[in-house]
Amino acid sequence: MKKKPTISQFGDHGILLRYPEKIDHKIHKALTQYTHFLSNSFSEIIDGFTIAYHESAFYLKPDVSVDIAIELFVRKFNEANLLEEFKESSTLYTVPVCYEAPFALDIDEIAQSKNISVSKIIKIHTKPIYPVYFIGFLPGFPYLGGMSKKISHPRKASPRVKVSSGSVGIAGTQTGIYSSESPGGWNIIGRSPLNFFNTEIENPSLFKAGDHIRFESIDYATYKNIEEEVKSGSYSIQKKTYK
Amino acid sequence: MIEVIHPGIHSTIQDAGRLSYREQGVPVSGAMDQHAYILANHLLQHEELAPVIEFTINGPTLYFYAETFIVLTGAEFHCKLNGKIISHASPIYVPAESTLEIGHVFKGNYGYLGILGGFSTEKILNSSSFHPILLPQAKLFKGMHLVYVKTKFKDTNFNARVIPVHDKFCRTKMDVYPGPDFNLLSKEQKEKLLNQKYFVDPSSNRMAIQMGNTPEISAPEIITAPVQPGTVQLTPSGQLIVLMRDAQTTGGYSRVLQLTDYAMNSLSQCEIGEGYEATFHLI
Repeated sequence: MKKKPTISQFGDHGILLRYPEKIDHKIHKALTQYTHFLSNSFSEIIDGFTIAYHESAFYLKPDVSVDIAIELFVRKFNEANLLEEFKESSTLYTVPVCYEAPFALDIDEIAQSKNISVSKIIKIHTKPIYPVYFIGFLPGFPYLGGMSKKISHPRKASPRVKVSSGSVGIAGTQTGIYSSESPGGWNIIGRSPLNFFNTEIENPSLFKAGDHIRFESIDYATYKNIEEEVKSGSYSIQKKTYK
Repeated sequence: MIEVIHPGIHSTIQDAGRLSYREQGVPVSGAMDQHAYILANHLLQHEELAPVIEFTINGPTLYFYAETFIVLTGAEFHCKLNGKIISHASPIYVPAESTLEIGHVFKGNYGYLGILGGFSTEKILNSSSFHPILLPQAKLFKGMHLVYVKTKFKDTNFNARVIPVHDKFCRTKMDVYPGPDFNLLSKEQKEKLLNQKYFVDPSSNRMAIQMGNTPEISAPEIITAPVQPGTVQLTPSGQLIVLMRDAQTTGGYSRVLQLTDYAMNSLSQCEIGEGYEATFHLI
C-alpha cells in the first residue's frame, strides 16, 4: 500500500486518517503503520488515538491547534520512504479456547444449521491466523478478520443479557472475544480462561491493532488449570514474532 | 470524609476523563459538562483539575464529618446546607457535622459538587471517572464513604476570577462541523438535517443523547469507524444520536456531524422533552 491516507479535521481536537471504505488487510496494515508512526513522532501533542478498519482518529491535547497539527502531519507524510524506515513486526498470540459445555452455548445450533459436525466447526475456527483489526465495542474486545464463511452465522435475534468474560463468539462473518462480561448478541462457541483486559497493568488490553492471534482447542480440565494459573499470575500467553 | 446518606438518582465521580486509552477500546468518560467541571475547580482555586461529584434529576444527600469548602456548578438544584438554602457557583464554608441536601433540579440537567482539594477516590487508568464497564459499582450508594485531599483555602472571600457562565438551558444552538460521513447525504437531506428544530429525548443518558422531532431522513450503515464524544450519528431507521462522554470508541452508523466542545457542554444541559429547542449550526 504505497498510497497515503487522506488527512482531515474531526471536531475541535480530532484528526482523521482515511482510506477508501473497505475491509482489506493491506489497507489496514498501512493505516496501522501510519497511525503508529505519527503517534510516535508527535506523542507530545497527542492525547490518544483510535484505529478501525480503514480510518484512524488522533485526538490532540486541548491547547494544540488542529490546523498546525495537520500541517505537521502532512509535512511528516511527505518525507520519503516513510514506511521503509518504520517497519513494525507483529506478534502472533495463541489463545486457548474450550469449545465444550458449559461454555459452547450456541455451537450445536450452528452445527445443525450448517449441517456440519461440532468437531468440524472447531477445526475450521482454529485453523486461520486472524489479524486483530482493532479494539472496540468493549475495552480489550478484538475485532478479528479472516474467519471462514463456512461457519458464519447471523447474530442472535435478541441479545443475551449477560455474556461471560472470555466468551468466543461468531456474528455474521466476524469472530471475537468478549473481554469483559457484557450484554451481547454474538453466538457463543467457546470460552477462553485468559484475562483480555486488566486495568492493573500499563497496557490493559492484551491485544492491539496489528497483532495476530490463533485459537487452540483445549479440554475442560486444561481450561480449569489455565484459569488457576491466570488467577495466581503464573500463566504467560504463548507468543512469537509474526511476519 | 463524607458519608453518602442518600445517593440521588444517578450520582458519579467525574473528571476530565481517560483520554489516552481509546485505542484499547476504553470510553473517554468524564463530566458531561466539562465547562461546569472546570469552573468548579477554578472557584476552589485548584491548581490542577480535581474530581467532582456529578448528579442529575435528584442529587445526593451528604454528611460532612469535618469542616471544608464546597462549590456547586452546572445545572441548578434546590440545595440546602443544614436546612439553609445555599448559593450556586460560589465557594461555601461547610462546618463539621453538616448535612448537604441536593434536591430536585430546576435548571439544566447535570450538576457538580466540587470540594476543596478534590475527591481522592480510586483512579483507574489515570482517571477517577466512574464507568460501568470499569467499575462494578459505578454510582454513589447509601453508606458510601468519600475521601478528599485535605488542603487549606487560600482566600475565604469569593474570588472574582470566574469564567462567565454562558447562556444555556433554554434555546440551545449547537455549533457543528460536518462529520466524516456528511457527504453521504444529498443536498436536500443536509438542508433538512440542519434546518430542523430538535428536542432532547428523555431516553438520553451519559452514553448518548437521542434527538427528538427528527426529519424524515436516514443514512446507510458504514464499516465500523472511529467515533468520539460529540459525534452525531444518523441511523438507517432515521434516528439521530449524539454520542456523549461514556460512548464507545468506534461505531457503525453514519457520522453526519461533529459537535464542538462548547456545543457538547450546552447540549448536556439542554432541557429535556418537547417544548425546548435544539438546533445545529454548521461552522
